Amino acid sequence: MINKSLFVSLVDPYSPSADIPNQDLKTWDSILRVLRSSQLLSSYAFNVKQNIADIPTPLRPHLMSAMTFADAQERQVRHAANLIQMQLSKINAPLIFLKGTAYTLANTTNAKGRLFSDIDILVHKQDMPTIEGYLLNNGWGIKTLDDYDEKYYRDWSHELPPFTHFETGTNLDIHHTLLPPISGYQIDLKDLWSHKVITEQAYAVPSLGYMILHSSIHLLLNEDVDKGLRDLIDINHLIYAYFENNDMQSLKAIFARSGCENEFDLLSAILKSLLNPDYLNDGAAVNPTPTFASRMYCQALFPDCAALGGSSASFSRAWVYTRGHLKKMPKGIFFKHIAHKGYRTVAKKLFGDFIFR
Amino acid sequence: MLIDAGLYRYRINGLSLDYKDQVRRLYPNSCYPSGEWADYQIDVTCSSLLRRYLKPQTAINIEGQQPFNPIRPDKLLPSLEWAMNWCVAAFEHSRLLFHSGVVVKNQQAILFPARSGSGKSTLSTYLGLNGWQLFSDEMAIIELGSTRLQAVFRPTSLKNESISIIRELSPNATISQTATATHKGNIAHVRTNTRAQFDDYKPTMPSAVVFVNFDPNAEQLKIIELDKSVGMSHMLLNQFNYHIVGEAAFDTLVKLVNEVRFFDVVYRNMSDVDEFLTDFVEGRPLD
Repeated sequence: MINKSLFVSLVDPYSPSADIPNQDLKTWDSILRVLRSSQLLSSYAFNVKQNIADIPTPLRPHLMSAMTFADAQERQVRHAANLIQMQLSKINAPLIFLKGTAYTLANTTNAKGRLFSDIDILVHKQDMPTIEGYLLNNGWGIKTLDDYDEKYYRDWSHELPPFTHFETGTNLDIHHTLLPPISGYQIDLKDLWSHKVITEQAYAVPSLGYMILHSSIHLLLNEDVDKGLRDLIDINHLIYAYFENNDMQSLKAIFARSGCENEFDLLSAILKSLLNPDYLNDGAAVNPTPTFASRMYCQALFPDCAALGGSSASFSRAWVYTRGHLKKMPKGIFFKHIAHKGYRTVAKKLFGDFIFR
Repeated sequence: MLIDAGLYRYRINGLSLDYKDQVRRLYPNSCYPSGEWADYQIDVTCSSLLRRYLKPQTAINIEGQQPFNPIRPDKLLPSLEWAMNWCVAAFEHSRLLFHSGVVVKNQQAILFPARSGSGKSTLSTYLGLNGWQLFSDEMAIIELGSTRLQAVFRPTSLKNESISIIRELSPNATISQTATATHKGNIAHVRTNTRAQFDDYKPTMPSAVVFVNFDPNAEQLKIIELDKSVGMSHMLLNQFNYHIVGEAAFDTLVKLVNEVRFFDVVYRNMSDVDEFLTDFVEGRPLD
C-alpha cells in the first residue's frame, strides 16, 4: 500500500518531491496498481522518461507499453481532428476542440501520455442541426438511445448524443456550451469564442484560461470524480502555463464572467490541500482555506484502489455525486432524473453492475 | 496468490480454497501464496451485496476495469484464463501480439493465426502433448525487431467436443474440471508441459505460418502454399496491437513475412498435420 501524498507527488511534476522515489519493489507494485487504476500510468511514464534507468527493471516494460499506447492514441486523435475540421469546414461551421483533444493539438504540458476516450468539440448552437445532418450522411452514426436518454440529451443537456465514426470507431461529442443550460450557469460563450487560440496546424482551441475553466467545471460539477485527480493535475499544469503571461486576478475574472466564483474558490482550496502549488503560497493573491466541500473532494477524487487504502471514501463519493447532479439541474428535474436513474443505481447496487447489459 | 507464467506474473486476489487448488494443478510449481511484484493484478469479488446470498455472481476487476460480465462462481476458471489473456492484450505493447497458436520443434516456431473456434487450440494442445513445445495456444508474442517468439507457461483452453477428443487421444493429460455452458460453451483447460520443460524453452525464430481448417469430411491432408502478400493480409486479420505498436510493428511484421513460408491446411486428422509440420521443420522435402 502507498499513501496518497506519495501518489500525488508521483503524478504532479511540479511537486517539490517529484524525483523518482527510492522505494522497494513491493511499493513499486502498489504504485503500478494505482497509476493503472487512475489511468495515469502513461502520463507518469512520459514524466520520468529521461530517468527511466532509475526505475526498477520489472516496471520499465509497463512504462514503455503505456507510452506506446498513448502515442497511438495521439496519432488517432490528430487524424480524427483533421477529419472533423475538414468536414465542418465544408458546411462553414466553426468549431473549437475541447479537453483532451485541445491539449494534444495545443501541445500543452499535460498532453503527453494523457488518455481520453472521446473527442469533444464546441460549435455554435444554431449550427447544430446542419452539423448533425451532415455528419450522419458522411461516415458518422449515433448510437440508438432509449426515449429517456434521447430526451435527456435533446432537452436538458448541452450536447448532441455522441457520434461514432464507422471507419475508425472515433467517438465525437458535440457541445454548444460547457454546461447544460438548465443548470442555471451562463457560460460567457462570446468571450470564450473571441479568445480562442489557433494552433500552428490551424486548429482552434480555447485559451488557457478557458481550458482551466472547462476542466474545473468538469471536475467540480460532475457526478463521477474517480478520475478526478487527472483533471486536477491537468488544471495545475494549465495554471502554471497561464501564469507565464497572466495573474490570479485575471483567472478569477474568467471564472466570474461565467458565474463560477464559487467554483474558483473551491478549486483553489482543493489545489492548495492536495498539490500545494507555489502560486498559492507565500504572499499569493489568493489564500484559500479548506471547507467541508473541498475536504469531500480531496477524498473522493482518488481512485477506488486497494493499493491506495481501498474504498474508505464512499461517503465523500456519494456526497460529490449528489452535489454534481444538484448543481447541474434545477431540483425538479434533478428529482425526476434521479427517480429514473436512481432505480437503475439501486438495482445495480443490489444485483451488480451488469444487470442492464 | 501469485502465478508465475514465465513472461508475466499475475496476482489473483479473492480465490476460494477450491479454486486455488484447481489453479495450482494447472500451474504446477509456479504458484506462490504471495509475492512482492506482479505485472498484472486480477481481483475476484462478489458482484453485489445481495448476490452474496441470492444467485451468487462473481465479478472480475482488472486494475480498475471490468471487461467481462459477472459469472456464476462455478464458471470462474475459464474467466480467469480469459482475464489473464485480456491483461496482456490490453497492456502489453512492447511486443507484437497476434491471435495465434505457437508450437516449436527443432528450434523453429510454427504459428497458427486464427479466431476462436477454428480449432487452433485443439491442434496446439494435441501437438503440445505429442512432442512439440507449446509456446501458447492463444497468442503469438513476438519480439520487436528480432521476430523471435516468446513462450508463456499457461494451460490451453478447449471447447465442447475438443475436450473429449483430447481426453481420448491423451488419457494421461492433466485436464481441469469442465465449466459448462459458458458464453463460449463448455470449457476445460489442459496442462501440456511441466515447469522444468518450459524453463528450457528459448525464444525462437518463426519458420512457417499455417492457417488451419478442420474439415471432418476431408479425405486427406490438403496443403496449399500461399504467397507472402496473401499470408501477410491474413495475419493482419488476427492482430491484437499492430495499430498501437505502429511503425515498429510494421517493420517487425515485414521481417517476419520475409522469413517464413505460409500454408493453408485442410485436415481431418491432427496426426497428419503433425507429420507434415515435423517433415517441414526437419527439412525433409514436402510432397
